[in-house]
Amino acid sequence: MRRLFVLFAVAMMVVGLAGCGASQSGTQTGGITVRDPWVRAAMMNMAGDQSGAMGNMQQGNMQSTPMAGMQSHGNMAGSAVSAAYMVVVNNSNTADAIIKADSDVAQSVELHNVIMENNVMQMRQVEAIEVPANGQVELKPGSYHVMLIGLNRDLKEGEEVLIKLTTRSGKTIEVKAPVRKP
Amino acid sequence: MQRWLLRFVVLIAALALSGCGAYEFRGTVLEPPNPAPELPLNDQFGNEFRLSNYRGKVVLAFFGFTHCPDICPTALGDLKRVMEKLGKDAEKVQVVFVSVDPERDTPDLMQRYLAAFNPTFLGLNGDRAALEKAYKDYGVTVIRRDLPGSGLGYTIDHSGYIYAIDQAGNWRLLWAHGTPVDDIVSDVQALLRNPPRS
Ligand SMILES: [Cu+2]
Repeated sequence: MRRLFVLFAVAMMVVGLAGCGASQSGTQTGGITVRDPWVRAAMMNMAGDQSGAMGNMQQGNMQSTPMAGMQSHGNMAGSAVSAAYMVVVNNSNTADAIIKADSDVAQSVELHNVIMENNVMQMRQVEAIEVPANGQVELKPGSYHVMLIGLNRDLKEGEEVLIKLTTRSGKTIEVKAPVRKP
Repeated sequence: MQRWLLRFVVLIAALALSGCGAYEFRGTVLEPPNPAPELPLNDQFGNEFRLSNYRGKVVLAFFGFTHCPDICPTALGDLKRVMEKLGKDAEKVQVVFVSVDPERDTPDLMQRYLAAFNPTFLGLNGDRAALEKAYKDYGVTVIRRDLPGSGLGYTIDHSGYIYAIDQAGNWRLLWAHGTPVDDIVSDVQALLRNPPRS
C-alpha cells in the first residue's frame, strides 16, 4: 500500500515536471511560430501572365499572343491565383503581427481577409494580421489568408511552397506549406 | 378503454403523417416554384449553354470568379463532394459556375480552374447584358471593388448562395454559403426522388 502511494507520488511529480517542461519550451521559442500550413492547389493560366494582362481585350479571343510591354502592374487579369493558410501562434507576452509575406511562386504575395456580410463575400487586402500575446490567429478559407497572385508555376498536390513571413517585431519565419487539393 | 383506443389512433395518425409527409428541405425553399430564368451564356469550351437543354436534370448554380481563391473554391469543393456522395445519381445533376468577373474569367482560366474540381462542371460567361440580367434575375449581389495597391487590381464582392433548379426547370431551392455538404446531398436526392410533373 505504501509502495503504491510512493509510486503515485513519483508519477505525479513526473507529470508535474513534464507539464512545466512543456510550458517552458513553449516560451523558450519566443515570438511567433506557425503550424499546419497549406496552400491550395492551382493551375497557371495557359497563355501566361502577359497575355492575361490585356484583360477585357482578351475576351472572345483566346489566341491572343503574349505582348511584351502590355503588362501593367496592378492588373493581373487572367493570371492564376491561390492562397496559403496556417495557424500563427504567438508564444510571447507581447502582441505581434504578420506584416508581410513573400514567396517566389507568385508575382505578388499579399495579406488578405474575407468578410461575409448578409451572405455577400468581400475580400480585402490588409496591412497586417494581428497575433495577440499568448494567442493565435487562424488563416483559413473565408477568413485571413496569404494571397498568391500571378502564379509562376502550377501548384500541384504533394508539392511544397516556401513562404517567408515578416513580423512587426522584425523577425522572419520560413514556412514550408504543402500543396493540397482545392 | 375508449380513451386508450383514441390515443392509439392519434399516435398512428401522427406517425403516418410524419412518414408520408413531404420531405423537409434543409435549404431555403422557394414557394411557389417559378421557372428559373434562362442563362443565355457560353461554357468554358465555347459551347452555347441553355438551361432549357437540361430538363430532366437538377442544375446546381453558383456565381463566382476564378480570382477568388478562397470562398469560391470552398463552394466548388463542397459541390465536388456533393457529386461524389451522389454516386450514380450525379449523372442527373449538372453544376454550373456563373462568372461574376467576365473580364478575367477567360475560357482558358475557367477550364483550368474548374477541372481541378470536377471535369463535368461548366463555367458560364457571356456578354455583359446577359450576365447582368442573370445577376438580377437570381438576386445575386455583384459589386466590383478596386483594390488600390493590390496586385489583383480589383475584386468582386458577391453573394455566396448555391441555387437548385429542378428537372422541370423550376427554381426550387437555395443554400447559404457553408451549408453542410450532407444537407445539400439530402435535398438533391429529394428532388431526384420526386421529379416534378412538367
Ligand atoms: Cu485573397
